[in-house]
Amino acid sequence: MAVFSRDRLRGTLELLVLRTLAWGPRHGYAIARWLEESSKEAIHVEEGSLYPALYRMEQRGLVSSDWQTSELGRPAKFYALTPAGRRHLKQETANWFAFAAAVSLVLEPAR
Amino acid sequence: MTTPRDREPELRDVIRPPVGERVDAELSFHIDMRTRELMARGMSEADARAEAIRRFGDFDEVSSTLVRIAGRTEGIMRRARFVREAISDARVAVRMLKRRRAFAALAIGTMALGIGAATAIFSVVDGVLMRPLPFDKPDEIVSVWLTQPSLAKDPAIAWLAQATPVGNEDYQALTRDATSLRDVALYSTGGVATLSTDAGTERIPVLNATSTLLPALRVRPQLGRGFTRDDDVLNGPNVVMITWEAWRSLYGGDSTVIGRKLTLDDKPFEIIGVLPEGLQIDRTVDAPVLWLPALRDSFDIPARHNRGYRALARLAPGVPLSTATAQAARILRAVNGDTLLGARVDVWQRDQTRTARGPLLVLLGAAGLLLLIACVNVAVLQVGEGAARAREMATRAALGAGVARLVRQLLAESVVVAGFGAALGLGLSWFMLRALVALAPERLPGLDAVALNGRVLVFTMVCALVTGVLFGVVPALLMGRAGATEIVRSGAGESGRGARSAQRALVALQLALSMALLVDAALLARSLRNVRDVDPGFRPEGLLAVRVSLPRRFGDDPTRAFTDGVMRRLRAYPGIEAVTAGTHVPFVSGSTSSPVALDRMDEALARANARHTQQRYVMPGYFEVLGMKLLAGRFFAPDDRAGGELVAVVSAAEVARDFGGVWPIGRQVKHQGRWRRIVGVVADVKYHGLAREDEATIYVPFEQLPDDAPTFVIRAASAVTNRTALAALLHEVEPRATLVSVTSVPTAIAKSYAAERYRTVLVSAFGVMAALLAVVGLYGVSIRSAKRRTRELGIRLALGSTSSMVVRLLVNDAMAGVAMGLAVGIPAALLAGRAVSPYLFGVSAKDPVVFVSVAVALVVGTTLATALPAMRAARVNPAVALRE
Repeated sequence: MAVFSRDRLRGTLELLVLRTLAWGPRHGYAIARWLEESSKEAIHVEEGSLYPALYRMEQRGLVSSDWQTSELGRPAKFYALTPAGRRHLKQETANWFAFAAAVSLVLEPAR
Repeated sequence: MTTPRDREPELRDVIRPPVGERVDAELSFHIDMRTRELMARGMSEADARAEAIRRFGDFDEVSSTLVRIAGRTEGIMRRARFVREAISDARVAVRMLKRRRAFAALAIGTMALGIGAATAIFSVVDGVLMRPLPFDKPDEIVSVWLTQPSLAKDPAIAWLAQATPVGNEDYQALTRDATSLRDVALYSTGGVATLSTDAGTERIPVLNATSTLLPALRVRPQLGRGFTRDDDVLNGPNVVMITWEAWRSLYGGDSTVIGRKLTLDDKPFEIIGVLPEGLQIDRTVDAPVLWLPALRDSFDIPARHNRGYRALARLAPGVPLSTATAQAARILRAVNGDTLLGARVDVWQRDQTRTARGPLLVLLGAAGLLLLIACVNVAVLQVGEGAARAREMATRAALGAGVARLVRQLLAESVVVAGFGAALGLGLSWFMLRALVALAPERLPGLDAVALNGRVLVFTMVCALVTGVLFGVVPALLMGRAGATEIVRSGAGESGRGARSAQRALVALQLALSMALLVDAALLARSLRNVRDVDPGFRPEGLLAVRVSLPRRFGDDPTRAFTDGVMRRLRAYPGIEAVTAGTHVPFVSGSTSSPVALDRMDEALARANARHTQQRYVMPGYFEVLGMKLLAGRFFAPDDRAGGELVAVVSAAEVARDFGGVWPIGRQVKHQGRWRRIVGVVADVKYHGLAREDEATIYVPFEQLPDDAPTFVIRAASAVTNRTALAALLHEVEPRATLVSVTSVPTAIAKSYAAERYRTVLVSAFGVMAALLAVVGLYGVSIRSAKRRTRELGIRLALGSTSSMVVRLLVNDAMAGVAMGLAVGIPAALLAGRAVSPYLFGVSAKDPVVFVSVAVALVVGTTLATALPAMRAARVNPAVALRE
């Protein structure tokens, strides 16, 4: 059941981040870049809010982090999906589509 | 879920930079990457960096947010890691215990016994002393008593010294002037009333309360209204409140009951309210059925100085008890014009449990001692196990487990043993608790509500944790001291001198503690026997006390005819040998006393010296039927009746107190305002308790001073306790008479020391359990040490030692520990004896007979526990022993 809530906005960012990580571990900047590119620059993540979201997700055990050597040759913090994060992603994706469908149903006649 | 990374947290923590630096590194990496991207699109480096920073937003704020979140995350992870490791330790511990079933069963059983007993006693302590009363802010509710310190030296009324009830004028004064007390309220639970319904008449307990009682408790009636100020005044209206329970049973919970009438003492009373369910004011007496307004009767008017009420109040916020006490004392002194008076203001709950507290804490102490002994016992077992486990530990040390790790594992095992013990003990305590409550002799306030609740569970869990660490710490310390290399080197062989001397010390400690507990048990048992052996001064065998109530007061002629009629009928009753009656029957009735003045004493001196004397109004034959001894003069004769010469008989204690021990036959005493000639002296009788001091007593012919209803006393060859027959007999003589109770005097006497017996039985049970644990523990140690020394014993036997020499050797060895235990045990027992000394009668807390017999019993028990395994070891074939 999709319910519109105040958490949905923050939840959407989390969902996008999780989706990004589904391809494999990435550092914060790569996540931001990937979001910009795959939405054809339509989604502009406010970079300052990306990191608190990542940290909170780590606290909840949805992602784990590890310092690895980046493409620049200096250490960067890489984030990866945990099994719990993967389950959450699946669940929330389904919820999102249900929500979007419900909103579309309401908006349809106005088009 | 554990990933390999989680397993090496220490290393990661060491090389990790602090949180702040990590956050900065991560964020500057982001800025750098963005800068590079922008430069790739053709910006200058300076522009690119400025743009990257702009796009990031408030760097400092984000950074501090991240530090905060990361710090919290780390805490969560640390806790999770701790739990994970604890679980893994516990899992290993369970695996280890499974391998050593005999040890595990013994250790867990021992702990279950200790924790079970402690939990059961603690739940009683919790229910009686600690559970808050079911009222709003119960700590504010205080009881208020008058104190009269000068009375403490007069045994007849010594109980009044610290707790004199208050009267109407005290109430009025406190209500008016005591600013530190709010809603001062009076109540008394002693009242009875005759309730007449279609089904007949019934004597029911009633509670008399002022209109302020419900407000003081912050309780509202379930239905209708409570009493108002206009209700509790002299000759106030006939109104009554009924309890919720009576409302259900008498009226089936009918809500139209308000305004109906019921008949009390032949008068109609209007029901104005129903009290809420389960409301209990005094938890030590039968729950009253009805509430009546106090202060309605003329004996309550201030001028009468009647003090028959208990007082409650709400302590004003922020006022300490001492301030309230001082203020109340000042007010009570002023209103009574008596500078010797004082006041005692105490938290109501603490006041209610004043007398129960001490004995309960003694029991809790005894249970705690048993728990401690159980701990030591398990520690002994564990040290013994240590020898057998040396190989296992050596292997693990060799494989790289640090000493800290091994110590932790040992502690985990102890806590697991204690945990299982606690779980089992909790089950055990449920049964023990039921027995404790069922056997409890006195009505302890709150005993009915005793249960295994959350607080008790917490207590049990803390017990398990503390005891687990307590008995795990000795083997763990031994291990820690040894160090890894030594653990590896010593291998499967000797488990070290340290272990053996630790074991001996623990056995000694256990014996010492057992001795303390056994001495307490023996002291209480001797004291109980002393109480039981006291001569009550009369012959209680076959005595029955029959209490009767009549709707009218005695003194009326019809009731006198009734008394005579009942006595005549009873005498003719088959099986009844003799019948008499009096206001007071030992161990059955309450007591009353008045000041007595002597002749040859001027009026002022008489007033100053007047001391309270117990009074008994008796029918002819009272002394003879009870079997009391005449010391001088004569008993009452049939001529000592109304209109005849006013006479009295006094007790030996009265003679000793007021007449210097000279038989006062022919002397005059003034009792209740009238002079009486003393015609006889009788030996003292015990009245409330066998252990009480004899009280000065005056006996007056009932007919010369008819008081309330007398109690009939029957001496019967066989137990004629057939209530129905007695009730029918009464009914024949007077249809409106009700049989209140039939009490066997010997039973009442046994009941008077039931509390002592209860305590004694419990402490003895703990003592015996402790001694058994100690002896069985020592037996186990002896078997093990004999086995360890098999080879040595073989050599000794081969070289010509006789088996009795070998036995002596082993026993002597163990006896050193026993001697040490007794040496420590004696001071421990002296301390324990001091704790029970307030409850001892006729035996000193340092009674040498008790100490010696306990010591002898322990020596015999421990000798057996060491000699039996030694004898078996001595039977070994030297050839076989040497080959091992």
